[in-house]
Amino acid sequence: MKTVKRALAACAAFLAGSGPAMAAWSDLNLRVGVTPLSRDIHGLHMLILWICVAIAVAVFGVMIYSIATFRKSKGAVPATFDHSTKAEIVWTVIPVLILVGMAIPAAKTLVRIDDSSGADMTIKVTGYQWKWQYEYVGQGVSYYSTLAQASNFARELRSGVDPYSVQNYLLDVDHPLVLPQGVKVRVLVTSADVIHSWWVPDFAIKKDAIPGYINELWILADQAGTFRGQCVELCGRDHGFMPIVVEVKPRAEFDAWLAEQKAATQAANAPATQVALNHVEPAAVRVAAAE
Amino acid sequence: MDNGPNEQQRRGIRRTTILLALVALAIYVAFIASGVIKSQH
Amino acid sequence: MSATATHVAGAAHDHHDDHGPAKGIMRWLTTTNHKDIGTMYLVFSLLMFLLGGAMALVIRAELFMPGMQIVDPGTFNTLTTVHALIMVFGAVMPATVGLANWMIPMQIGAPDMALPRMNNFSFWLLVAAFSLLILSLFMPGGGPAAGWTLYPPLVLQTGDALPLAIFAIHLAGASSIMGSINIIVTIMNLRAPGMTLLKMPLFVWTWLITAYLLIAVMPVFAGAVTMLLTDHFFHTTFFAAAGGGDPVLYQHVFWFFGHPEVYIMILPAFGIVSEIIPTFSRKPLFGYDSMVYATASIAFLSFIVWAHHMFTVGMPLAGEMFFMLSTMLIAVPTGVKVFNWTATMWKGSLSFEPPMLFALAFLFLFTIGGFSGLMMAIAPVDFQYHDTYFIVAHFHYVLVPGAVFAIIAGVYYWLPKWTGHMYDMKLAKAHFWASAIFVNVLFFPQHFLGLAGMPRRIPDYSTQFADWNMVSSIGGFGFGLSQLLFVYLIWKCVRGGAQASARVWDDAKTEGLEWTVPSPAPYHTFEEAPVVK
Repeated sequence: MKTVKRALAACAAFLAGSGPAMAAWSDLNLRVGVTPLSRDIHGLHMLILWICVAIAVAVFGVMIYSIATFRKSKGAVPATFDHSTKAEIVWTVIPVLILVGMAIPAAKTLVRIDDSSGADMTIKVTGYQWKWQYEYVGQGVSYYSTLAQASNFARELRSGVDPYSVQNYLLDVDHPLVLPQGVKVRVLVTSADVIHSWWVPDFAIKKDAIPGYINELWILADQAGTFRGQCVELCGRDHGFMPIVVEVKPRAEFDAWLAEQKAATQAANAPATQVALNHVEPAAVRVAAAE
Repeated sequence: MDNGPNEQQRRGIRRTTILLALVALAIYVAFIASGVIKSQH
Repeated sequence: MSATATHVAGAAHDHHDDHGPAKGIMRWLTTTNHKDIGTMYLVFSLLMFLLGGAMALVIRAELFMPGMQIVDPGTFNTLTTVHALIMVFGAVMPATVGLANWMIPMQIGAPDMALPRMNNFSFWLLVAAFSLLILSLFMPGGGPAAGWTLYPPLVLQTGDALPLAIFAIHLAGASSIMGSINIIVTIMNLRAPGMTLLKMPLFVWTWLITAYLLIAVMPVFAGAVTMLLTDHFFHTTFFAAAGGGDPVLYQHVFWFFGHPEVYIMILPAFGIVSEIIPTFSRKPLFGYDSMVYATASIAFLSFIVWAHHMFTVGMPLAGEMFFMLSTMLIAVPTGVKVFNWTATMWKGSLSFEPPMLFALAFLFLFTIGGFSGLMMAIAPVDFQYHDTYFIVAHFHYVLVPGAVFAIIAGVYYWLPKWTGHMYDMKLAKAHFWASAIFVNVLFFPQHFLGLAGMPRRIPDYSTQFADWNMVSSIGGFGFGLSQLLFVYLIWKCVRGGAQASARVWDDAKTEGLEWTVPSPAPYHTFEEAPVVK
């Protein structure tokens, strides 16, 4: 199976030119992701992809066979039939059955996606032109997340900076969202100005951030690591420059991090705490101070 | 046109045209009206 | 164009001294002749195709490699927005209207369209509409840059371009509605004796259904943009959450128009392909009746699937379920069509003239677009595909090697009938192979980009997306340049070439009334209605 996939990828890359000849299968396909939902969705994607491939092989096979065989240049004499009730019933009923076969697992997954009950914590994500705000609901922790300096400088028109020299070009932020590993997190998504859309491919679910609406999704990341995504709803000039970075930390590390943020926020809210400020995350302080 | 549509065809053309134009207008008005109604809640 | 003019004028002169075309520019400004108007629509759409294509090339040039090299992000957004508006409303739709103007009267045995003066008005209104749209590019605050879907609240941040763009849409919409009324009225009232509905060529059928779709949804779009206009200038809050309005309402209204709009672009293409495949398979169209019913079912379904464009706005579960299932249903009538075309070729006697080549490319590549469409119908997976390059690949597959290839096929099919000249077959085949190869180099890698996570409508991207973007851009330049062959070929064919016979495709199986009149088609045809057996 693996060899077949590699061969397919190589063929595709070859057909398309030499540049991406090194591209692995993983670069051509949807990623599996790190949540139960993302794995479900990936499975569904592969199921439907293979069904489509199978149908394509059959249908294109007949077309290619017809083109190769029934040629005037080969002296083919045209038949005169112009309908066949039997054939038409067959190719109406079979697609219906295939669709039912697709709809059942799809509906099940859809129901699972919709069920955000039993979440242990809630994060509120607010889209702005052009940054994200993350609020740990009930924890008093909230901060903005914007495109990292290096990328922001390199992406200027004719900046002269080679994007390849910038680490995680356009996919890096100053203050990532931090989530605990193995905890069901409810994410509320909204916007303060125009419509944005919050998406991290490894978590699979994408929700629009709409002013006046609070949309909901849930994430249960079972692997620690850094996961990157982008705003995916056109939101104006810098739509391409408001990435999303999520750091998933083991529970204990996350708790420590959150405690630190809370302390920093409280310190910032209290008067005459200039000294303490040096030790805390600047973003948290800035936001807290602004509030 | 000397060989243009005959009287019966002309009647049909007139009737269908007016009907379709009214349908288009009605849809336009109806959708704006639905927007007005929705925004008053 | 002027050569066609003299030529057609010459032909008309032989037989119809009393009412040939007027001379000079006034002929085109004041014409009420369906052939002249058809020609004007086709020329207009070709110009718009080149203009929209030039914008696409700037987009692809910017995306050739990571980093911002050519345009600033604001201009980039304007280019994506106006490229789409021009291609949808200026290129694809007018091209099918042009074909309808030329062919529907000739295919049903009518002397002209039923409302010839309104026909002229529809065309010139379209010119006015696009003049406004192009003018809007030069307004303070920049051109429209909120995407062709014009979603509020973003679109309300547009500068002075907003009213111009909205009036452009109003005018183009009015033009489309008048054009559609004309087509319906013509088909319903001016068919030759004996031409019953179920004897009409499929191109006429698909256009009849398309025209009904247009009348049903164009006013909806006009209403939506009118509400944008009042929100912007008259302090209404239809779509402003702060004033009690609802930004998602706009999306529902837009896609209630937008989804049928997709079929407005593709149904006439189905019709063209359904004419060409039987001709060059030398075998009757398989399942004529089921083709008509399938077209009607697709049109009906198009009204109940709109929210599949909005799976991520946060609809209730029941809504997502409904729109997922109804969308999946579209695969059934669409499948019937693809199977019928295939069955038409089965045991036929195929030859591969340029129209057939483009029709076959349509058949394969539109089907690929159909597969990605089916994948995106599955709501849970669409949460991954939505607003990525996967959707960009999908709709370009159904629109470029889909609708545009079918239109090109139609032009290659009927061009000798219009000009009286056969065109350069070798050049046309070169155009075909260049187009068919480059269109795949252009759009196929975009599937990979989307699956890898590249959002649509971004002017710059992370380096991981660089390879496939470069491939796609190379395909884009190749495809764009190939179309210049098409322009040159048409120009050459209008100027001269071997005389085409009345049937044009003498050794193929041409059916239909258009092949009973001489080539080039005289200025006036069927002044006495033919009798259809």
